[in-house]
Amino acid sequence: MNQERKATVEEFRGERSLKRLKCSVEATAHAKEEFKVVRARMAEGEPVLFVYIGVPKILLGAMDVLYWDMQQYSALCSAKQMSRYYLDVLNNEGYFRDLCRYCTVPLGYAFDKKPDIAPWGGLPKFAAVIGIHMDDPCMPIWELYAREFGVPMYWIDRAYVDGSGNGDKLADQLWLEYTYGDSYVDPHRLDMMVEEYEGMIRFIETITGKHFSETKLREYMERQNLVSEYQWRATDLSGRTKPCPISWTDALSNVSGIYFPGTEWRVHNAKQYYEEIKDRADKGIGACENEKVRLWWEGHPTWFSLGFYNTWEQSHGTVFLPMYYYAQYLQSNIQRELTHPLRQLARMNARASVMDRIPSVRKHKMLDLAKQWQADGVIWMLVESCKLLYASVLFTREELEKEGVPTLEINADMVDARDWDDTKMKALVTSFIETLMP
Amino acid sequence: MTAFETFQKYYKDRWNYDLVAKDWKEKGGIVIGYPHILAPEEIIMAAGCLPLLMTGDPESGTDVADKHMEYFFTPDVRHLYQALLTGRYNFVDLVCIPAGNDSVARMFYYLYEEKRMDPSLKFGEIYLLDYLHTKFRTHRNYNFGRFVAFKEYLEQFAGKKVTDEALSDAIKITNETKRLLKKVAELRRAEPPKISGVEALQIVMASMLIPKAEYNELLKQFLEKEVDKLPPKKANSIRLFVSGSPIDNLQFYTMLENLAIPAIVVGEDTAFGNRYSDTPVSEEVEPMEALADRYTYKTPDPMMYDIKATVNYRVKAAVEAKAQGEVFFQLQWDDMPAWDWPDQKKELEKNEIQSIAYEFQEYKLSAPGRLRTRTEAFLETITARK
Repeated sequence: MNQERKATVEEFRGERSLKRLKCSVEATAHAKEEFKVVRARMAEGEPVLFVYIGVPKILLGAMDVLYWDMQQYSALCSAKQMSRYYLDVLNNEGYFRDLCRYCTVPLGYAFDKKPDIAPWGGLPKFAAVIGIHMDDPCMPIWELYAREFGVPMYWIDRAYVDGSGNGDKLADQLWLEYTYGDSYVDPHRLDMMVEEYEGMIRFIETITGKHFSETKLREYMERQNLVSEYQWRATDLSGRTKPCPISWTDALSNVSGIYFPGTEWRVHNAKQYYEEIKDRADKGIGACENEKVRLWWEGHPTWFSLGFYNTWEQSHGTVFLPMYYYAQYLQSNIQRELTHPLRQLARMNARASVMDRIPSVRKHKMLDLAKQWQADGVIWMLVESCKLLYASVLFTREELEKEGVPTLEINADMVDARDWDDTKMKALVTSFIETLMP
Repeated sequence: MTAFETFQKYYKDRWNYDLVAKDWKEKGGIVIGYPHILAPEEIIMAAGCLPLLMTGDPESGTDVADKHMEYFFTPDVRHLYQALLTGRYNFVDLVCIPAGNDSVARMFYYLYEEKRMDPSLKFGEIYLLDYLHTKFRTHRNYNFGRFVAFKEYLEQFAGKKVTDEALSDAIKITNETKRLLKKVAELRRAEPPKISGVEALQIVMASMLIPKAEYNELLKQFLEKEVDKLPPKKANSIRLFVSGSPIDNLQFYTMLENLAIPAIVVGEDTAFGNRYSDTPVSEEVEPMEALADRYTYKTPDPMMYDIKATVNYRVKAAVEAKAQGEVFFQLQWDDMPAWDWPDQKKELEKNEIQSIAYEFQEYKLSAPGRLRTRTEAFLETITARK
């Protein structure tokens, strides 16, 4: 570690999480290996793309295009205690402190341009970037990535569910899209998203020399259906089983799978994930020896201190349920109708705007699952710099409280540890748990 | 009452039903409120309805809004949400919400949910008018489709066919408004300026509060007979340009123009200032096509692609206004203009325009004293450089 970096690392360092499952250890190693593979193929002259989490990576995989996910690197920098360094770089460039952080930690790297101090040796030299509109800051942030990397950008826009909000029409539409997401999306939004994807395919073909095959995409989507099915079954089984066979930290290790969807390895990993959980459930093995309290942490984890979620397992018999990632949406990732896979993929993304943005959808689904999975309480990390995922919280909290599910709100950031007070946060959670103890 | 006094009155009493809507509604008219200048007023007018700017009130607080709207929504939207939930706009028949930015667009879903939970809430019907974020061909065509859908919706809502003739007439009227407002902008660029920032902001905002044809007559009267009767502006005032978040009230401009060192706001790139009148609608092509073009290709809103074009526009506007300094004003959690700021600052420096940024400001200025002190220090640096 050089002196410059040493000087920026402050006292607090996050805690490492426990990994109980073999597949979790494998998943972490695999993610690192994939990064090496990208570098090795790149060394042979293959172009690499830098992409946003919402970009349909399954399509890139089906085209055999190399890519690197921005969010994955952001989480990695945070886990390696480098996020504050990169966020400070941005602030020194004149960007205000209260802007989006999750999507900008790697942007700090892009401005800094010092691979020798960056996690995993820094990012490769990209051929292009692809961004997508998830919320307001995405567009300028991706413009800046393109500029700082000196490469072209393709931009995918995303439409809102629009029109009249009067009475039943909107309600019907929202529920149609939510419930039958694989067969219904407002036609104009779907057509728009198909156009965005078609443009992206031409862009990628031009940049990389690779070609798109709808047949290949269907194969990937069929495999990803299996992955989603296993993930849903594993999550649901964990939720319904007492004691809960694993904790959230085990599930989080497998999150890296979302960065490489539809591969054979992902099917293998998801299957193994489900089977290991089932084995533990059958044998009555829990994450806590004496489970007393089951908590749902809604939102992202604090990537800089994943061990935080193991803190109360021994002392309070408290487990954080393995929600994977926004567990309430897992089932809707399964796409049964694959006659026109590209159109189906577009439909899935167009529909995501319902998931992200609509209070009525979010609150009902979350309440259902909190009850089914016997959550004693829900902790909400409120990330003020991210309206994408942390809007509709108050509506949902109100609904949960009304239905007898206690909640706690914590203000923090998923990657920015600069304002994180570990002692205070643990005290808050401890107090909350103590109110829930039987 | 002079025309300018009328503008002041409309600005000051912009929530007052008796002033802004009573006559219209008593004649059976429909009022369509909008919170953002992306709303196509021309379609609303062609449907025989009254377009009306809706804003929050810095003095209202947000206690009702805060129950469901998270504090990290932009404060102008939180205050407008408060106004809507507390019935301040109960005379507005339809709230047209253009998807201008996340806070504005999400307000639509929040209002929908509020009404679903409590049907007795006193705000009108709501409509989300979607926009995409670039000027690419496919996005312009998508916007066109959404405009057509809005027009068809309004035809049903107002019970009146929106004809091309009515659209063309509305376009002529709003173009006339823009043409007249450009004259106001020119008078601000004069040396010394003929119109202050505080005066100009009220003039521009009044154009969104008074029926347009009536407003145009008042503005002509103002330009012909009243400009010279305004209080004279000090020749030694430092010329400031304002950039950043939407400014829909006078607090900030009043602070800037009442300092120990005289300063005057000679222009701005913000939503309710000069940007509103920058781009006319073509009268040469089919009106719906012309409207889709205008609202897609007009001078860039902060939410639009791309940074370079946006910064160029803003800096050019500051240069044309012969600004000596620029004040960048960012409301809390308003990310979009903030991402452009470092580039904008550099470009301003190239043009020898000094700048200062006030980041993360509340809707009701919470520390005007501190802002005054900082601004006076900033003005001193400009004076020292002259």
